[in-house]
Amino acid sequence: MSSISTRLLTAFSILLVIFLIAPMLVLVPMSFSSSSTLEFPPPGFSLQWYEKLTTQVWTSSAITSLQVASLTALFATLLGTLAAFGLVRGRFPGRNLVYALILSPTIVPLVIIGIAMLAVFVNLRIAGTVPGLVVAHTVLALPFVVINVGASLRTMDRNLELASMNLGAGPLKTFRYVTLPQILPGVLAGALFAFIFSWDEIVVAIFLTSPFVQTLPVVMWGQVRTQVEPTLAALATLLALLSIVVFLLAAVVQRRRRPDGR
Amino acid sequence: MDAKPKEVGSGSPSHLTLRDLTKHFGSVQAVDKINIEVKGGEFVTLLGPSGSGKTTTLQMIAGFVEPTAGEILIDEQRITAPAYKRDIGMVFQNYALFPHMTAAENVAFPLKVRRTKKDRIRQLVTEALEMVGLADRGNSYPKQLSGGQQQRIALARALVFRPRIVLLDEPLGALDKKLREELQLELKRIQEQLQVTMIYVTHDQEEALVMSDRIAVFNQGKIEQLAEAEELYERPNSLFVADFIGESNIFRGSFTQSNGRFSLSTGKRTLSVSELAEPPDEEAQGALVVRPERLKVMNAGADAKPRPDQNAIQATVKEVIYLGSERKYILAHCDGENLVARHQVGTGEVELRPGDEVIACWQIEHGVVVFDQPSRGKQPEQKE
Repeated sequence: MSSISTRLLTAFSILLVIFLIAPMLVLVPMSFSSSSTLEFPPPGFSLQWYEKLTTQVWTSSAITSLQVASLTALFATLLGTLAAFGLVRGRFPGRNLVYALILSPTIVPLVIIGIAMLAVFVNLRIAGTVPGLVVAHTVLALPFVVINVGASLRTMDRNLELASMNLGAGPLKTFRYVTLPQILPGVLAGALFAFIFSWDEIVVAIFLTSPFVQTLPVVMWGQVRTQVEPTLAALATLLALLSIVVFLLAAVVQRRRRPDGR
Repeated sequence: MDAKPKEVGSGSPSHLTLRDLTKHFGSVQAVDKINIEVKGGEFVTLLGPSGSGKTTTLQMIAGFVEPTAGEILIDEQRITAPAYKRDIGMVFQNYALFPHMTAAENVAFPLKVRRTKKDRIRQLVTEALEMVGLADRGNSYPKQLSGGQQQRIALARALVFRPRIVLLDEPLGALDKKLREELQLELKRIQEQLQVTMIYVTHDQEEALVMSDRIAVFNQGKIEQLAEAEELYERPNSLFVADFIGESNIFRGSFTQSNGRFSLSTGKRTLSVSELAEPPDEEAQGALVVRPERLKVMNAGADAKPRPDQNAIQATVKEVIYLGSERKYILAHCDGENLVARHQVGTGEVELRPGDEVIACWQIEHGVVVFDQPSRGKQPEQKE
């Protein structure tokens, strides 16, 4: 390869990385600002905005978000894995229709889903509660799990399951000792996507939260609309940090799994 | 829930009976009323081209495929249990080792699901790995092993729980020739040592000849012939078997009888045949099969005189192929397909060149007679 094109590629790559990271480079210094408005460069250093994050409105919404996202990841992974198993392995009429229905939340606008769910949840008396949010997010996160686990199941060697049965393991043992370890990367990826989806989701959450039960994105949105403080920058910095940690963990887990030949 | 199969290690080898075993996939008759009796400790190969029903038969025995009709009996007991309760070992063509387990864990798996005691598992796994010569690779993952080593592990895994029968589905298909031959002999050694009943599926006739006690030749879902290797080669009972096992020179025609002598008339020539097992009532259609090594080829000169107990055909050498231990001659003659002859190198035979006029002859009793069978394959609507 000629050195000119190599150099162009390098330059382009560096520019791309700067473009992606630049917002962070502005955001992080602003979160340590001594000014009470979002200004750049910050006039001085202060930790006051981080301190403000410890107030009740932020901590309680963070806890709510964490609860909702964890439960969503749990239920979406359980249901999604079972659904994927049935859809990939099963042979029954209407299989494609069921698959399309499960995936439909990804194409229906979230606003519509939010309105519809609110209407139903009010009657069920779960609007504005954590269980209501979990139900809503589980439905919305299901496609991520079904797609990931389904792909793992389809690429998995069917003979492994036959071999397991042949060696004396019944359906449950075969699933536990052979199938599950094989599709685990897909299951974990699905769970991670489900968690992050719920953690970030705002549209449906706006409909289903109440003044007493609010998720982090909903509170942030409210703050943005009423007062623009560096508190948001501080929170954004923490959230970015959290994402980085999660993905590093995922990478470490991935690497640890290497020796088994996946 | 899961099975509680019997404790590992049990008495004499099991025998297997397939009775009218049949499998239809839609309108396709994959397996059509198969009958086999496999003795305890016997090594039987199911041989046939792809799509002849041999793998489907194996899968029915294993319990992966439900038979449409007929029954499978092990030691006179009808088997209908699900695959995981059958106590039948299987070796797959692609090994099917569990990638997330080490070699030793793979071998331990059938014992673990049978709730065998830990120290007993350790002992049996060690023995099994030693048996296949991989005692030092127990901690390796499948991907760290070569194809041959993986197949040995798969074999150890299929044997360690002392199954009643072991099924092997083209287990050496993915390996190169040299390794394949090595493993054939090793597999045969282990089978004889353990006295275990084995059913082996392959489309490689050479492999079948090397390993089997008996071979069942499959064609279009039916067994054409079930016999020992030598019988299959020397006395094929159908044109398909003659053609599938080894090379053959085939003369088609109708059999006739005159003055107590039998002959085959191809239209252009008449060939003598040895006494027929079932003499033709009228003009029976069939073929005469002559193996290439039975065909003597000599220069067509004055001294070349076929004896009266021989058939002789005038031909021209078309090609000479040197194969190391033998020479293969392709001969053109006036009637039908080319003839093939094989001569051992170094037995002082006359060297022939392309273009030579020759006489090819064989002892009458070396020609094998096969009759055409009533039309196969197309069956009327079957009843269940």
